Amino acid sequence: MTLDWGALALTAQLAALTTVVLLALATPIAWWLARSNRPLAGWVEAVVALPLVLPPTVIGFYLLVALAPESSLGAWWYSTTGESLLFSFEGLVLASLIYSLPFAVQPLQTAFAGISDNLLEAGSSLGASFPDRFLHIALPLSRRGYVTAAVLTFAHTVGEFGIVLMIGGNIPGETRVASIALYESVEILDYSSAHEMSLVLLGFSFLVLLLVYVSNRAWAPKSEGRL
Amino acid sequence: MVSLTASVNLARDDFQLAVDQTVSLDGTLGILGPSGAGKTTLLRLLAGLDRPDDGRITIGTTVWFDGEQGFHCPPYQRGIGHVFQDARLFPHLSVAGNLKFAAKRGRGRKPLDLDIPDMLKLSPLMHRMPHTLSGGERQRVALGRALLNAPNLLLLDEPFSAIDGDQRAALLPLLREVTMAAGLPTIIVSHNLSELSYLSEKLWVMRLGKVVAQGPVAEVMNRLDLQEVSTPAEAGSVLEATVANHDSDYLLTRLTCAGETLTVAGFVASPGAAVRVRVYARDVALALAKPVGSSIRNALPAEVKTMVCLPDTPYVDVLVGVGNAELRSRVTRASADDLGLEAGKSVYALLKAVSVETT
Repeated sequence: MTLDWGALALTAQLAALTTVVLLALATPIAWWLARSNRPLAGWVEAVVALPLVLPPTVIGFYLLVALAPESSLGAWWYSTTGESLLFSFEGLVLASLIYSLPFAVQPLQTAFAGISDNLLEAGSSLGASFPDRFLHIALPLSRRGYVTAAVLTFAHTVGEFGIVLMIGGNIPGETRVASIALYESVEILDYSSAHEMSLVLLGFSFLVLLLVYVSNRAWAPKSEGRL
Repeated sequence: MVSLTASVNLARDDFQLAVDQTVSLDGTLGILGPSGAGKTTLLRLLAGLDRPDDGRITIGTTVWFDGEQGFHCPPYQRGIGHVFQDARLFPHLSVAGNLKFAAKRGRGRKPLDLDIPDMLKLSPLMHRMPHTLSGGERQRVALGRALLNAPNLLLLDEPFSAIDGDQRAALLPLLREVTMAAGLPTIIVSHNLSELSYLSEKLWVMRLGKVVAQGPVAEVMNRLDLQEVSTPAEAGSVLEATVANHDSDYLLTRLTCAGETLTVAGFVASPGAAVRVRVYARDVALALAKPVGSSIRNALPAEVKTMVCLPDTPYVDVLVGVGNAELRSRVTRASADDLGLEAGKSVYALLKAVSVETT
């Protein structure tokens, strides 16, 4: 056997889609967490961080229950699309959104917390409404946070295994992602394919982290942060 | 002329602000007070950055806050140019970018008829990033940014506090020139009497969250009973004058001030021009007779009006009437006793030509 390009392509597709959707979802959550003093924020923070500590199989198990055609979500999905959420690409996207949530929220939260209220007030007095202040002051000042969030979310989604195993199975072109393909190669004692896939994932992961750390250093001029 | 009504209450844990004032904003209103008096808090309420507990803020016919109706106009709709003490330039934008940010969002209002970058000498800074600027340069950019936003009202919150002496001395006349030329209603907050006597037409004095004195700057500065204008070393008087003529041999200018002639050093302005004279109380000496054989150029006939001892100091502040104006003089208690100073006594107010500042 040779390298499973289909599995790699599916993985990239899943990770890219998850990253785009999650950055959009994580932005308001991270903004609220960074700016709110309410006790509720601590609760939300704990919930967001759960996937960091829970065994993926726990998330996988609950998703298995929640996405099953007997559940309300699963039933609604089945009645609208005629397909099951379990063992589908859509189901994997949903699972990845939950699984990778803290990897998107936390860097953004840190970035947003570093933006001084003073600058937003200055923007406000110059006539900038909230969306205007967000787009033209907060967003450019948080670009490092966005790069970190995007890279970590993408990479973490690529590394997803336990959840996929539980709710995705191993359907080529649908749910057979790189980590599953690797697992299968090992199971059938096809070590050369396993080596190739492992090397690809190792190289990818290292490149990604290199990109994050090098760019963080390069983008850390005095112009950011306090003035 | 725009009328501002600020009738606001705000209670914080350890602080209470209660202001009820209406003022017509022709020229600059200075707000003086020690730190903690509530000056910045009041400015933030006017800007809409904080919300009063109750009350009403109106400017002209526009309502900015109405506690009864629960109406609060957000800061970005008020059209206020706000210069903060820490400049608050956007660190991700160059100087030009900061100015463009303001100009773009000020569209729709009538721009000031001034070449602001030129007046504030901003052209050489345009491509610089904020973190490379000096404190004085930052405040110049911040002022330019506020003005390019075409505001209806300019708020300045301790704009010189983060700047060292030399740069402050350069920025002060520039700010005066720009605010006069812009003809913009301006409110400036400071704990520095000298700055405010230089920049303002009217003065509010704040103490513990309340406005304890208000009026034309000349009037408030002569209030002997007011510690905020009496204790600083810069205590003194502001007088209106017109230029009479010049003495080009000796480089002196003669002013007509309160019906008297006042000689000041240097060339001040063209004859006929109205100027403002600042005299520190410590530079005004009193004498019972016109001195002879003295270097003092100005001996103005005056009459003692009131006197107040400055507690725990050797000094007495004496308010004397000169023509139709008044002048604060600071002398030692010993001198006051020797001269037998008391209300109604005729004296001469002595001013060295070099100690009279004109603006």
